[in-house]
Amino acid sequence: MKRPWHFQRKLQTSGMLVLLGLSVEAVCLLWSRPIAFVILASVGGLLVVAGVLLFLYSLAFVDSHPEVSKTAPSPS
Amino acid sequence: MPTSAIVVLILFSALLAGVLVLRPAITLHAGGKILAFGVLFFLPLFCLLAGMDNEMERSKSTAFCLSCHIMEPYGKSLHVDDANYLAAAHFQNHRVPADEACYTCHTNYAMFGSFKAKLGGLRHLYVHYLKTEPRPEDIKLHEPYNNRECLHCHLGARSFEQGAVHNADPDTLPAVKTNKLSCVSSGCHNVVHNVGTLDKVKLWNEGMQ
Repeated sequence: MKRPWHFQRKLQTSGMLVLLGLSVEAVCLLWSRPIAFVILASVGGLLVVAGVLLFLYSLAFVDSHPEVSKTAPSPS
Repeated sequence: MPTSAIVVLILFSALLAGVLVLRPAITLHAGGKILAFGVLFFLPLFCLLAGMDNEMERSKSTAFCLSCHIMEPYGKSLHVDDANYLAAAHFQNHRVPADEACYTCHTNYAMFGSFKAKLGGLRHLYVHYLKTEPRPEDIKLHEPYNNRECLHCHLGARSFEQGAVHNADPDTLPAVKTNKLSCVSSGCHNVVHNVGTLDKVKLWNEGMQ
């Protein structure tokens, strides 16, 4: 069942995670050291994947139109 | 894909992600939803895969391996001016690609060879950051060097198949090909890096002839 509200909040969190992950990735690509590879794959990868999964979760389970859900008449 | 192009793509994606963070209300419209899908699903995953692929390719380079301080003597051993030094002879005569010299000989030419080589690299990082590093001359291979890595290039080559020493004893070549007699065993090609004696040998000054 879709829960009302905070789709946009989740979207912001997802965006922040992706933004952080991409920043880590960019730094690692410019920092040519063996440890950069590990940081890119672990920290960067984890942040990006977490952001993407949160976005997909929001799409599937969080209502994107809370005001409609709250005002719409019940089917019964 | 060049590193600079990936970095530009990452910065562009990060910029769009920043717009979504600051203005999440744009997803109330259909266009905004499509943008969100691109920015929070397609682009980050594409950037991640492209970045990892780029790092994997870069990790094959000689410069990458030699960027660790402990590997410096091994890099120096590639410049020894003595054809008996196996690694130096291969590097200087471009029997292996000079920019991927370490990887070419130290990867495993079996299935998942590159993957196993990278796992070995992770172990190096673990030792480097969390354990006491051995001296360069005390570094040993994880397992005995497999002839398969040599035969990947040399098998079928005239100098290998018809070489006088290889054919002096009829049992030698079959033993080498079945990995029963190591190419780097004593009395054969056993001078490889020999980093412990580098201060006693003459170095080849590339491009200074």
